[in-house]
Amino acid sequence: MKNLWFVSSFILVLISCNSFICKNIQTNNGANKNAAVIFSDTLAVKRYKAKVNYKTTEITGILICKKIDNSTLAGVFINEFGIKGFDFTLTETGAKMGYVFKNLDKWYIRKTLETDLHFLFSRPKLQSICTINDTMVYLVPVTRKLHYVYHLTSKGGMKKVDMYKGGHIIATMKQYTNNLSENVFNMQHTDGMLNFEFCEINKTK
Amino acid sequence: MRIILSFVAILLCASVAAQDFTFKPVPKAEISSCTASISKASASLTSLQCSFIQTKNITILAESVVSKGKLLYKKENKLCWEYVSPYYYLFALNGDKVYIKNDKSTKQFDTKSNALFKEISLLLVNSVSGIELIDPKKFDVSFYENANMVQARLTPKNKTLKSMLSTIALNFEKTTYMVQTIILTEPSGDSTTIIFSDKKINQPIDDEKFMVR
Repeated sequence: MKNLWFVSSFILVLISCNSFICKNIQTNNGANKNAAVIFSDTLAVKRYKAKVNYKTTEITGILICKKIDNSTLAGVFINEFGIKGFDFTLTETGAKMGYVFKNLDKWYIRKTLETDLHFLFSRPKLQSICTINDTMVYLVPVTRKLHYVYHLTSKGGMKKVDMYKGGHIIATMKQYTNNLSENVFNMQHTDGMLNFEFCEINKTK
Repeated sequence: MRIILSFVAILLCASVAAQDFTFKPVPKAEISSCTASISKASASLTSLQCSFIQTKNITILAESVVSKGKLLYKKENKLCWEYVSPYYYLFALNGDKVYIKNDKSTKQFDTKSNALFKEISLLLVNSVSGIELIDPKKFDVSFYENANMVQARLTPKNKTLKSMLSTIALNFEKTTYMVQTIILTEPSGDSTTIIFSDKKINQPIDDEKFMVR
């Protein structure tokens, strides 16, 4: 009886967490296959010109990501001179920081990078559809408090993704092609403190 | 004809094989003359213009990143390190001022107020000119050589630099005692190799080249 009460309460909490973000949640078993996929090839390598802005500080360099097996992506950020800033691995469930440059190696920086890198580079299966402000979106629960909300274009491309924490949008990511036909990811925290921009480096360069 | 060509090819291979590219420790008795030759070359260097290829080896990804660019150096501390590939990026040092320029903006910093920039700037300038790095107060230094090169392997003593780099290897050409290659090895085992080419030594360079706008 005690267990039943606990399970019921837990389910209620879960439902209540989702309900304030999304309405009319439905599960679509045939996951959206048109959603943007970064790593379509096995063992593909992607290189990005990277820019990180924190308050008034700007860090630039190159981010290299490689799919090291079917479920894991590894990435390394280096500055222009080749000095490593950090490396990480990323799976469906989260990102894990490895090496972090000594001056940046603080627990809160690691935690922020883990959350943001997962948001930027994970491409979860989009199975739950719901509506926010009468717009149909895809909902991805990451943890009890953390949700990604995918807004797709009519053709199935990624329009934008919002990161919700405790029912509030804390960051938004957009993917677009710039005037040099480069693929760009841009993530902005809503408080304006931290921004990421990754511009894919064409192979011809 | 084919036999002659084969013979020539074998001779070429043999001559390449005969050159020993493996670095061996420089005998203790020769270290002082080595340092003196590097000092002399460094003292006579007033300017340098060259191209470079920088290769970063990333062990955990088994991948490398290649960058290319041009370098300008003018005594005492004017340096312009310009990357043109994979994208444009310029780092210029002019006295105490550091300029960073990319395709969108130019930023200026003061090395006096930024310890890390100061370390990086000093490292770059001294890597190009050679001698300042081979300072036993700042580094544990050991010398190696092969047929064509002398290699100075430096282990930083400075805490800030030590956190970035475990060793710095400078390869000097035996003919000129000018730096030909820099190999920076990080505590993680990753390394960055910078190879200089098309060198123009002691040619006039306009000071304007180091004024970045």
